[in-house]
Amino acid sequence: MNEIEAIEACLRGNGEEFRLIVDAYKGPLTALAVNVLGNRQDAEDVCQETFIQAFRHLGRFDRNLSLKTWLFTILFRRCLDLLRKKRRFRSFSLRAATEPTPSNRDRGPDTPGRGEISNALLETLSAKERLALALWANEGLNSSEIAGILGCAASTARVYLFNGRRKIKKIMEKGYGTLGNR
Amino acid sequence: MGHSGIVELLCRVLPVPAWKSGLARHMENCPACSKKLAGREDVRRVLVQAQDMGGLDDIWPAVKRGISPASAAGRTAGAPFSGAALKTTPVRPAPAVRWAAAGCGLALAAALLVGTVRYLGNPDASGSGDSMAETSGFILHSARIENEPANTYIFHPQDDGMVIVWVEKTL
Repeated sequence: MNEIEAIEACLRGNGEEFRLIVDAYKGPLTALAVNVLGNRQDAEDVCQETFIQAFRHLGRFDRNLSLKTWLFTILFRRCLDLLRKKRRFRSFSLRAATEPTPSNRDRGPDTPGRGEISNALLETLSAKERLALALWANEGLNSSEIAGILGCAASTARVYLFNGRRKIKKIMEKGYGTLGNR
Repeated sequence: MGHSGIVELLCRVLPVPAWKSGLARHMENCPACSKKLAGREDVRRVLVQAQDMGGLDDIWPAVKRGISPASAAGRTAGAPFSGAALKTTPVRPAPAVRWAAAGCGLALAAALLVGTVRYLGNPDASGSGDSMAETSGFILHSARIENEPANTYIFHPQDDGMVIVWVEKTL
């Protein structure tokens, strides 16, 4: 069964078929959310919400477009919602220090473990720059496709990408060891 | 300062994304400038990728709970719903409620606008269609809508040289 058949089945009321879509995209979606949000717990929550929201609005999905891009768009909006909420409580930048997760408890504050990104990236790059970079480097999207997900002009997406690449290069020149996640 | 330094400086100071975009394109294509940018492999190395995301087995059970009919119908029936997976989901009102709220907001904004215009308007300046109205040198001899005299209201907000003329059909 392919994606479109799974979507048709879901629209007919067979929600079990949605598992095919979840299994196909949970990895890329969670990875993108980690790159935007900076921690895995939030990323998994947002990923679940994205799938639930997508399921509820499957009828609105344009079959001529890429399902993956549509899911990325929903995910990014949910990430922005969460970041706004976190910013409101002023806890986002302090999260690593105040709420260490089991995976990073035994290591330095800026040495990312597997499946995490460094604090230097979180502090230096904006969420939109991180998203643009992740879509460009991991998914191979161009600035027009990234612009569609970000909801901005292609020129603006190109600037996000450019700024992100420039900042990463500078961080790497300062000390590559603090950035690598593997 | 080499030309790549100048380009980088311009990228920092230019306020318009479209201009920056042109410079960004140059930096991507210029061999000297592109050395200042991280390559795709560099970026991949520092970001998390899908293959790093092991142990996502909890996603489907949580999604399944979220998309179950009981959950979609307001989670009123069936097993108790665990909020852990959806703890960051804001409660979203029904479309009808949202439309009603939007309508109320619009009506309130319109009422405020009308109130402000009436408050700022000079009551002496209003009159019927064929009367002559004068406000600070502005003269309106007549106003007609569909060849019928119309009501005119002339507003002259203080502290600026603007005159607003409101013409409406006489009922």
